[in-house]
Amino acid sequence: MISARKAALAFAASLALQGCADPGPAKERGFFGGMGAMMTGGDERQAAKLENTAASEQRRALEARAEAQAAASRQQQSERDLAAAKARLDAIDADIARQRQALARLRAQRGEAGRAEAERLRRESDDLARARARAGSQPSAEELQSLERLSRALDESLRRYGQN
Amino acid sequence: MLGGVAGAGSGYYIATRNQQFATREQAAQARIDAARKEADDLSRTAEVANRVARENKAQLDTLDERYKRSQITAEQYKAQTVAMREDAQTMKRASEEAGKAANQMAADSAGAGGGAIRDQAVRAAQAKRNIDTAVAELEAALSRVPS
Repeated sequence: MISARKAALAFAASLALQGCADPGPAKERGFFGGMGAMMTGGDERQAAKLENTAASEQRRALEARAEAQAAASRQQQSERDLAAAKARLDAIDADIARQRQALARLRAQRGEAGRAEAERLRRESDDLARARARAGSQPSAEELQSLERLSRALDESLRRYGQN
Repeated sequence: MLGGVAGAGSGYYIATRNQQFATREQAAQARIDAARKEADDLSRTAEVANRVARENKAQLDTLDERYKRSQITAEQYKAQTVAMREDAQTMKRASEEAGKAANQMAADSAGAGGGAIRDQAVRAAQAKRNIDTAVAELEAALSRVPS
């Protein structure tokens, strides 16, 4: 007859062995087997197998397509934004050239009388040209707006100068 | 042991019906949980299908305009729609799965936990109708593509 201590040790050893072996999914086990599986991950694999159904494959395929479409859409938007920014920069460059010609013409027309104002306008034009150069080829939206604001202000100054 | 016979290659709900449970209560609860998850998944599938169809239609509008302006050839136009036709086929298969799940849930709703399963059957059927609408709209848009 074995002692109570030996029996307890044997039971503990059997529990340890259950913990090492994978007893498979819950439906194939009893209560104790189910407890052991908490450590084996058998249920997780069974759940993953159930998750991997035809319906879930179709959902994943559609989700992948939606993500690819969204990425393509973002790319197209980015290209449109770049093209729009370039067009605005080109317009500012054209403004600067046009404003310099206008200033030279007006200065010649006004002569000495308008010299001081022409000098102020030249500094304003130079400020705009420097700001444009600092903005480079990929300016931020704020930089573009600032350049356009400066250009409009210079146009208004030139208009007033031409009227006086 | 309590359980049912599954349809191979079907959705989560039908696959879960294969599982065995110690008591009727456990089986009923597991079935309700599975029906809810399946209905959630199908609703998400329908939402994604609508998004994909909407994006495809927008792309088709752009392609159609470019084709009419002779910026692309009919062959180039058609080549751009290959993935869209595959999308429509994927959606049709998703609709079939939604139909199977809805029908199975409706059939199961006579048993234990029937009310809860019936609610999910209604949601699954709605998801199927939404997917069908997405397919119909996409196919209508694809029918404009020159042959």
